[in-house]
This record gives sequence, structure tokens and C-alpha cells, in this order.
Amino acid sequence: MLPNILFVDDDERILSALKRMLRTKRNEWNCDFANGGRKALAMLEEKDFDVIVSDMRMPEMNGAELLDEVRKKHPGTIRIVLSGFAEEQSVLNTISSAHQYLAKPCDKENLTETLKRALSLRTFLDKSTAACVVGEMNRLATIPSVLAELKDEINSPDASVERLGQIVSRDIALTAQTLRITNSAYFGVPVGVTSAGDAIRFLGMDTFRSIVLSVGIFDECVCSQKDMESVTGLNDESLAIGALVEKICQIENLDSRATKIAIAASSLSHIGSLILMTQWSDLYDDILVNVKESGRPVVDEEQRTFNVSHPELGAYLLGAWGFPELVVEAVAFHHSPSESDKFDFGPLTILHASQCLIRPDFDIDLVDQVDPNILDLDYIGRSGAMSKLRGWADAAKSLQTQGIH
Amino acid sequence: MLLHHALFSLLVLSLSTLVFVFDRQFPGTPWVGVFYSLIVFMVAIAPSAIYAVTVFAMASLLLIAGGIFFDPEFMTPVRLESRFSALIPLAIVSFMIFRFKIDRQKLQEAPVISNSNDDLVIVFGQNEGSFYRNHNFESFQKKMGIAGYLDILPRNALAHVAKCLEMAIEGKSGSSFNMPGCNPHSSICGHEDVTIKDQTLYWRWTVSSEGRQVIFRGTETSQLPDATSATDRPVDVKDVPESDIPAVQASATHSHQPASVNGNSQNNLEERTQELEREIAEHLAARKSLAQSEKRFRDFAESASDWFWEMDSELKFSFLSDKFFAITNLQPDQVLGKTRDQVASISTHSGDWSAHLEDLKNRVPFQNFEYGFEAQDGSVRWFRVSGKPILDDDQEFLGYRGTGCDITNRKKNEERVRVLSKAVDQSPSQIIITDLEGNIDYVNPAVETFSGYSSAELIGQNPRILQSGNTPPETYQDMWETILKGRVWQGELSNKAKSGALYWSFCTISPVKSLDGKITHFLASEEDMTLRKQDADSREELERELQQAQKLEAVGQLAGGIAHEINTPIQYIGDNLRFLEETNDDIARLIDACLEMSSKAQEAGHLSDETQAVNAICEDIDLEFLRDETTNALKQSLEGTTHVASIVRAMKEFSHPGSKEKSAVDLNHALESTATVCRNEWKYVAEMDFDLEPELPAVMCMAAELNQVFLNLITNAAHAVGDKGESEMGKISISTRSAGDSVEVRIADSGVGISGENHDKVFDQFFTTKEVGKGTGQGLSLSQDIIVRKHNGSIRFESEPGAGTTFIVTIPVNDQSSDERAA
Repeated sequence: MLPNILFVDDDERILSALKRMLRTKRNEWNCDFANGGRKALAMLEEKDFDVIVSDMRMPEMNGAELLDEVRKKHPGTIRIVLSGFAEEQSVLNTISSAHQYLAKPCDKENLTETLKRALSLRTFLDKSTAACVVGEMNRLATIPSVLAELKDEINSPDASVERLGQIVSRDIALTAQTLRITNSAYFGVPVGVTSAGDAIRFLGMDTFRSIVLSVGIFDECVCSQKDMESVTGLNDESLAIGALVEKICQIENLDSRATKIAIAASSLSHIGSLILMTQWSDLYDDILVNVKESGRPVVDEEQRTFNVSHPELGAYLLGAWGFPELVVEAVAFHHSPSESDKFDFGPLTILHASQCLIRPDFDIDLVDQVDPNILDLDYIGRSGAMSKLRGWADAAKSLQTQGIH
Repeated sequence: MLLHHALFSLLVLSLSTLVFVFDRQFPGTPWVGVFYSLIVFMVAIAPSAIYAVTVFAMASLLLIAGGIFFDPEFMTPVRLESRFSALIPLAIVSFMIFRFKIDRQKLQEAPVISNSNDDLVIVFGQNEGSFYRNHNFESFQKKMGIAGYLDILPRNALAHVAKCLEMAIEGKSGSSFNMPGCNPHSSICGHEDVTIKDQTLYWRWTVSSEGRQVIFRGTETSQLPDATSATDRPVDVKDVPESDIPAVQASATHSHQPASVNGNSQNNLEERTQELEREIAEHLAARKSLAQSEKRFRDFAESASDWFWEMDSELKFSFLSDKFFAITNLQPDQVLGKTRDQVASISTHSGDWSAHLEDLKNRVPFQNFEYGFEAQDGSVRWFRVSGKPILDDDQEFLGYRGTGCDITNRKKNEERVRVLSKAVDQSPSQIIITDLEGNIDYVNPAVETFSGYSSAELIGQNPRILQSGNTPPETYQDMWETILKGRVWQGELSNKAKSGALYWSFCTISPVKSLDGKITHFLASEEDMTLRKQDADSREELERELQQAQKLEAVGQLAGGIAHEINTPIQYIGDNLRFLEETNDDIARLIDACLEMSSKAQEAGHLSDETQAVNAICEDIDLEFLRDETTNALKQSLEGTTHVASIVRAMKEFSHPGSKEKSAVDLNHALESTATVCRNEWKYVAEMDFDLEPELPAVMCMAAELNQVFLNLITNAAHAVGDKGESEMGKISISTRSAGDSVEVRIADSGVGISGENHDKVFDQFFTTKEVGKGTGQGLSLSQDIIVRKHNGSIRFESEPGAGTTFIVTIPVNDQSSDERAA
């Protein structure tokens, strides 16, 4: 079954040109073209589309409205905006409804690449409930105090980009949302920015302030009281992993690009857990209890309960949001690296090792006895990290004693 | 004296004793009465009050004691009554006598009239005089300083007075005389001044030409000599009108007889009295005219606004008229007795004062000496005084007298006028005053400065000499019409200085009217507006530029929208071309296959007509060419759209509205963008190459402003190359390097370079080597401001005239100021 892609634009010529341009892909994708929002919705009723690509400025129903409808009715469809419209505010408006944003004129390579990547996410999650959940929900729980601190810093007269970056980095949701925005080429941010601090630097204070305060995307995500503990725990864990990953990258003298990817992946690795936690908090609490008692890998528990585990969920969301491929990969396979079919030493290796080394009960001397679902020694060996494990374990221990937050 | 007192006391005591004895021994005899009387007598003649009282007390005590002692029945009411019934009238009588005495003593103890001026004090009083005459005159006279004592008997007053006068004149004193029954005379002493003070009557009277004064003093109840009555009749001085007091004639030359008073000298006295009366009458007449003259002068004095002053021989004020005190609010004791410079209390050391004091010292008359006087409240008043010395008959210097007036107001006005005229003199505005015909009366120094003519050269001339000829004659016509009507005229005039230089003046001419409303002068106040005109010109220029800038800004704002508008067609043009490209390939495959088929058919000899037709068409359309060219056309068209897309993108980025905040910017990208945007400026004269460091760190900066700087530098580079005028293409190289925590951007051109003399001016505002109309010279100064002030970076250049220039811009990667804040 070929994937279905829907293109929406009010200008017929654009649609015809797109049709012609995508002729070469006719064997791979099924492309449909709707001349306006209403037509698009009608077509969506009839057929199940994997991806929808829409213009912003259209009469009757503009892109934001359309994609909002799509989000509600067909959450499994990945939503992409392709627009020549330049006004910043309207772009910010699409942030809640669209996954990605492409600027016209978009050449063929760029467009096909993006579509290909979006479609490849199907490998992680098919149109199951989970995918729908992820697709529909733009909500990721943020800890209220962190959000408040962020707002305070932004409002203060000598707000600094550095401090803002630090605050954002402490929270998975904030990081993800911030990076999502910079992924879209509209803001002129070089592709592949992976750290929240850099992202804010590129965005500039004005734009970021506008995003936080007037667009208010973060406001939707404040978690409830009872979830706060679990969310905080999750954030702390992500930070711990991130710190260890950074340290290991230093030890291994990884190049800056790879380092950035590793760090980004580490801080976003548990975004899937965050989704599960927020959506099905009671079930997830049970899972956590089980995991503590039985010592089984949490991934297994998730699979049993939800039929999907957090790496895939996270990867799907990040992919939908146009994060760099390497980051998506690292997140997708950080608990099961062998499935990536890539065994080169890189961010995934370090991330996978770190998530295990960070466990308080891990003992390097007993590494052979570790559950392979937690630490894939085969993969470690094949990627050439076996000899380094000890060093990494020491680094982990020293970080623990330092009491990283 | 003491002997007297002792004897006296003894006598009284013994008398008292005798009273007892006789009363006891010889009751009913008159001896008691006699002794009582004697005691009373003693009391009466007691030398002093104390004595009288003591004696009486003692006597009484003694009697009582004796009575008690000797007479057991003394204390019985009957006896007491008889004793004391005698005692009481006795006491009364004694005290009456005693009072009489006291009166006299009062007289004796009355204050002395000062006679430092040789005034002779002659006291005349009531009838008690005889006692004094005979017994105590000496002490009396010493005390009072009197020359003689006159016992007045009304009708004999004149005689007595005459006698005293004689004595006074001849300086005789101390003699007492007895003048019973002097000649009755009808005249009364003339008097100058009658004052009653402290119950004492003072007559002052100037005697003869020597100016000596005789002061007659008597008690209030003293009687005026009354010619008409023969008896004493008390007359109150106040009730006697002056006119009733006849003049007296006193003859100084009248020789006098010594004081032996008896019947002979009485005749002499009468003669003298008559003479005196005559003299007195003369005196009275003279005094009357004097009084009138006085009144006249007093009226002058009171009506004048000036005051009158007198100084003594030590130059101390002895008199100042009331006007002075009214004006200065001083008290007489604050002024009298002081010299003028002490009173003035302001700067009495100036030259004027020295001159004045010299005059006073030399005892010459002076006029109109002005001096400042500091009042008690600190304010200053100005006085003008004139005076002349007072000399007596012997030309002895007695002092000064003169007038003075208050000129404070006048001085204030003078000062004001001085200040105003100084203001006019120093005013930077040119001020010309002309008469009705326009002849110059006065010019202030500013006019001299601007016109180059001196004041002397201008006075008397007509302002016409300043005309440059550039002001239209209608302006002058209008001006004259307006000011002759009495209104104020304003306008711009073009003037020519003596040197020939032209200058513009903004002129206000107003007519000056006299008190009756007629125009007497014209006042012209001119402001140099040469600079203003220049400013106005440059302001117009700036306004033009501002408009231009605003237009550009509007265009810039539109640029974003235009970019978007262009984007849409570019999108589908590109997509369509892509499609055509791919289609072309597909169709080429098909054509190849068909040609293959056709040639195969041809070889086999089938469908010869069709194959021939195919070959013909191939020939006709020049298939090879077509296929090549179609491919190329499509390829180039695609390139074209890509190019357009990149230009549009660059323009969109470039015209993105700047933000006040800094954000991270990839400078490589920015430079490429900017170069694209201004490509038209450099592509005809130079080739551009980029040497951009690949991993250049993103720089925190204001993107729009940096783009502005780069645009400026690239454009300058292009112009420099163009100015060189070579036929070959020049070169512009743009390179970036990271340097520590900064990024360095170099823009090098192979243009004309910057000459040494201009090196320091390159970044000056408004400095430009371009011709008029091509650039304002603000680009580099603005660029410097942006780089240095807003980004804490640096901008400098290296240049070799004839070879080229390289501008080097260094910008710190991180925003310095926010780092400081974060720290």
C-alpha cells in the first residue's frame, strides 16, 4: 500500500506544478491535490492520508484553521505547512497545529526529503491509538515552577539568553517545543540546532519572548498536581543522562556536531514517557511500581500495557516535528540499539550506555549479569565501546557523588 | 557753723528745762508761755530741716519726761490736755514757719542754669530775697553762678534789672545790693524767650551788641513786673501777650555808678533805665523784623524739598532740619555730633570723598557733592549737598552750613540708563538708530563688526551704504511705507560689508515716537541670519534625504511582501521546469526508441513512406539541435529560477525589520545575502570571491544593522574599483575568520585606495570623496557607530593608494553587555 499524501493550496498553478514535479515519485507515493481547505477536509473524510501539506494563506479557510481541524479529526496525519507568507506572527500561530513548516519556494529535494522522513516514521508507529495520541496531542507536561521561572527571566530587564537556555534545558517539554520551532527554516536558524540555548540565541530574545508570552504554547502544558512528582522524576532522570552523555563525549573527544546530537537526544530521550505519563497517568504509575518491584525494563512494561513503548513514541513525535534524523534515530533505539542496524560509534552508543550506567544499582564489575534488555552488550561490543565502559562507569559514579540535579 | 548748732541746741534744751522748772515751781506764771515761744522761735531759725525737727522733738520729749517725772499727775487727762493743748498750736505755728523756710531752700537747691556761654544767671524771686541778700548770697551765687540777685518789686523791676545789667556788663559779681523803693517804671524787660520749665521761669535776653545773654530765672509764681499796678499782683506769664511787653532800652555804654544805693544814685538809675528802655525798644523792633525774616526763611525751608544742615568748627553736625530726619528715618542723636563721613558709612575712601574732605579742611565753599548713605535697612540712598563756611565777625571759622537733597531716584534712573545703554552696546544684534530722514544717529558695536565700517563712518550716513543690491527695491519701498505709517516692519535684507562680503540680516525696524506722538527716530534691529540661511539650506537638504530614506524604508517594508508575491510563481515555475526536465528525459527515451524502430524499419525496407517522413521531420526540425537545446534551455531556466529564488530570499532576509535585541547570526550567510542584494552595484566593475570559514561561530548581533554595514562596505568597494576607471574587471574579496572570541570579516577591493591626508577623516560624519549628489558621507560614520558602539567591535582599514583598500571588521561572538549582566 502506497502512502497517501495530500497537497492543499488555493492556487491551481501551484498544485499543477507540484503534481508535475512529483510525477517521478508516482510509484512510491500516492499524491492528491485539493484546491482549498473545504475540499481538503472532504477528501480527508474519504481517504486516510499519512501526510498533509498545506499553504497558509487561503481564502475561506486558512492553513492554520485547516490543520487544526485535521489535528482533531485525523490526528494520525502528519501536518506540514508550505507557505510563502512572511509574517512572523502567523508562523507562530501554526506552531500548535502544524508539525513542520516549509518556506516557499521549496525546491524538489527539500520537499521530497521532508516527505520521505515524515513517511518513514510509520516504521515506528503505525496508525495505532498511540500515533493518534501523539499526533493529536501537542501537550507535553511542564513543571509549573520551571515555566514560571522562565517567564520571570524573560520579563526581567536584564534577561540573558544563557540563563534562558539553562532554564529551558531543565525541562523536557520546554526543550522539545523550543527546538521544534527552530527546526522550521522560517526563522533563518541553521538547520540542526540541537541545544535550547543555541536555539534561543538564534531566535533572538524578541522572538522567543513572543513565543513564550504571546503565543503561549507552553501554557497548555502545565501538568496537574499529582503528576508533578512523576514529571519531576522524569526530568531529573533526563538531566542525569544528559550530564553523563556530555561528560562521555568530552572523554571521547567526540566532534562538536556529534556531541550536540548526543546531548539533544539524551535530553529528549524520554519524551515518549512524558507523553504516556500525561495521557495515561494512572496506568503509568502502575507500570512504575511494577518496574521497581520486578526490576524489569520499563520498555517491556510499556509494551505490555500500551502496545507501544516510549522510544518509539518519542521518535515519532520528534520525527513529526522535523528533528534531525540522527536525533530521532538515537531516541528511537536508545533502549534497543541493535534494531537500528547501525553499529558505528556515535551518539546512539553513548546514549544507550548512559541510560544504563545512570542506574544507581549498576555495578561495572557485574556488567555481564546485566539484563540484555537494559544493556545490549553485543551492540556495545560491535560499536567498539566495550573497553570504554569502565571509564564511563567511573564518570557516572563521580557525577552521582557530585550530586548533579 | 557748728558752733551755731551747738549753741542753738543748748539754748533749746535749757529753755525746755526752764519750762519745767517754772511750771513746777511757779505754776500759772507766764514763763511757760515765754519759753514755749522761745522754743518756737528756735525752731523757726533752725539752720536746717533736720535741726528743726530734732529740736522740736527733743523739746517735746523733754517736756513730757519732765512732766512725768516731776508731776505725778502729768498723765491725767486734765493736765495732759492743758499741756498738749498748748503744744498743738505751737506745732502748727512752728511748721508754718518751717515751711516758709523750706520754700526758700527749694530755691536754693534748684539746678543751676548752665552758663558755659557766659550767660549770667540772675535770679529774681519773691520777697524772701532779703534774707539771701544779706546772709547767704555768696553761697547762693556760687551755686547758681549768678551775678547778682534781684529782688523784684513789681514796679521797680526795671531798675533792678538795669542794675543787674550794669553789674553783668561790667562783670561785677558778688555784690549784693539793697534796693528798696526803686523808681516806678512803666516798662517791662524785653525778653527773647520765655520758658517755664520745672516750675521755673526762664527769660533769656540778649544784651547789647556783644551777644551776651542774660538769663533771668524765677519761680513760676514769680510776678511779672507790672508797670500799671502799684501792688504785687501775681500774673501768669502765659497770659501776657508779647505785644504788651514793651521794649527795653539797655545802654551798654551807660556808665554806671557803683552799688552804693541811696537817693543819689536813684536818679542815675532812672536815666539808665530810660536809655535801656530805648535800647530795648530798638531791640524789639530789630527782633520783630528778624522774626519776620526768620519766618520767611523758615517758610522757604519748609516748602523746599531740600534740608538744611549746619556743622560746627570740628565739622560735626550741629543742626539738621526736620526734612533730613523725615527722609532718612534717623534719630537726631544718631547724626548730631558726627561728621559727614561718619554718617554716610559708605565707601568714604573714594576720590570724591577725599576731595570733599580737602574742601572742608580748607574751609572753602563746595557745591553738589554727591555721596552714598547706607540706611539702617541696608538700602542705599544718594545725597547731594552744598555748603559754605560760617565765619564770625573776626573771620573765625565757626563751622559750615548748607543744603542737601535726596537724589536716590535720580541716581537709580541714571544707573538704569547706563545699564540699558550698555545692553544696547553689547547686544549681538546690530542696532541702528536713524532720524526721520534716515540719517544714522547711532550704531552699536555689532554693526561695526558686521558691516566693517566704523561708527564714525556710519553716523550721518544713510543706511543705503550697506545695500548690496540683492534685495529687491520693492522690499525697501514696502519698508518705508510701513514705518512712516508708524508700524513695525520685518524682513530679510541682503547687506554688503565694507570688504564687499555679503551677509544676510533679518531686520526689524520700528518707529520711535516722542511724547506728543510724532515720529522722531527709527530703530533698526538686525540679526545676522547668514548662518540661519545656511542652516535652512542644509536642513532642506536633510529633509530631502530624510524623505529619500523614508521612501527606501517603505520600499524595504514592501520588499518582504514583494518577496512573497514573487515566491509563489517562482515555486511553480521551478516545479514545472523540473517536471519538464524529467519529462524531457522520458520523451527523449521515447524518441530514441522510435528512431530506433524507424531506422530498423528503413533497413528492412518497410513503411518507406513513413520512415522517409520521419527522417524528413528529423531534418527539418534539426532534432539534434533541438534535443540539446531543449535540455540546455530547461537546465538554464531552472538555474534562473533558483537564482531568482536566492535573490528573493536574500532580499527578504536583508529587509527583515531589525530588532533591538541581538540574536545569533551566521555572518557567512549574511555576507552572501548582502552581496546578492547589491550585486548590481559591483557586478559591472568587479568580480567577487568569498573565502568564508566553514564552521564560523554564530555571532550575537543585530542582523539588520550588520547587513547595513556590510552593504555599505561592499558598495564602497565597488565604487572604489569603479573610480579607478580601468577597463579590466577589478576584484572584491570577502573573507571571514574566527579569532578567539571574535569574528573577523575582511572586505578587500582593488580600487583607488584612500590617500594619506584623508586617513583620519574617513569615519567623520559628512566626509566624502564622492561628488555632490552621490552619497552624503554618512555611511562609514554610521557603520562605525553600529560596530563600535552597538556591538563593542572594531572597524579599521588598510589602504594603499592606487592599489586598493581592505576594511576589517571585528565583532565579538558573544554580546559583551549581556555577559556583564549575566555575570
